[in-house]
Amino acid sequence: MSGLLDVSVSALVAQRTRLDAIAANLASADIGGNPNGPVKPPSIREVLFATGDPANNSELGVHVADIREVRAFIPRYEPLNPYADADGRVWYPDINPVEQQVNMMLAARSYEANIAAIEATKSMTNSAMEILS
Amino acid sequence: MFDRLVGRNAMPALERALQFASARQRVIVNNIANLETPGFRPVDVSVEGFQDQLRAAIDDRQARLASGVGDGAASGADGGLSLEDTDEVMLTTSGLELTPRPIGEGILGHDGNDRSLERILQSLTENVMQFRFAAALVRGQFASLDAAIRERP
Repeated sequence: MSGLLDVSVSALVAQRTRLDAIAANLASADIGGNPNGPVKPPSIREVLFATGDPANNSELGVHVADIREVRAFIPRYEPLNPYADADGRVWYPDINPVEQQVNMMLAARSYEANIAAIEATKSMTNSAMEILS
Repeated sequence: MFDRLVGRNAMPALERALQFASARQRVIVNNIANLETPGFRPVDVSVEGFQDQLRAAIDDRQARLASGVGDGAASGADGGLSLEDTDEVMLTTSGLELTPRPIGEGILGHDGNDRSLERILQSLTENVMQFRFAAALVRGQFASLDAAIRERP
């Protein structure tokens, strides 16, 4: 019975980390810069999951294996921008808002599914407690 | 069937049922935790397999009791209920150890995960119901013991 919540909570932590990364991506979508200059545009963060939970030394559960920084930029022609390069281009992170929103929905739904699993485990524990009363 | 669930020898069987449900809960919760993990295949153990195993053990004990071995057949730490190990369910000192298998259904996604949220949540709900059912019967057993001790209901 012990450790049942660890598995669900590891997934809550992983999904929240993913939501954090998505929020950061969406927030930094309009930060421009020059990859070769002093002010660089932000890179896109992608959260990678893997099975197992090293925090609890368990094979069950899920953890964030890596947060990949993808350096993909698209240029916009803004010659008056102080960050523009010699050709008048400012580089922005190549973030696809639709893709980010879909991932955000998936993370939120997955978070809810794990909350449902926690509720189920709680109701099991409660009925085990009732044996004693 | 019913007398075996509420009779005096029911407790060992109910104990196994509770152990099975709590071990299976760990498997199901892990499936839910890994809904979005690339390459993960949901796993489960067969409830029917465990119930057959339990039924065989109960029948075996009933046969031994009926053949006149007496109450000795229902004594011991496991109440005379000897569960035969299968390749999915093994009895250890700390409870039941499960060896779940991939449940190969659903379409394999691009991430190599053939999740089926509805099936997983169905087994979650069923498992909780089975646990609560067994726990309620255990509670009933203790209530009858209590009534016997107090000599009034």
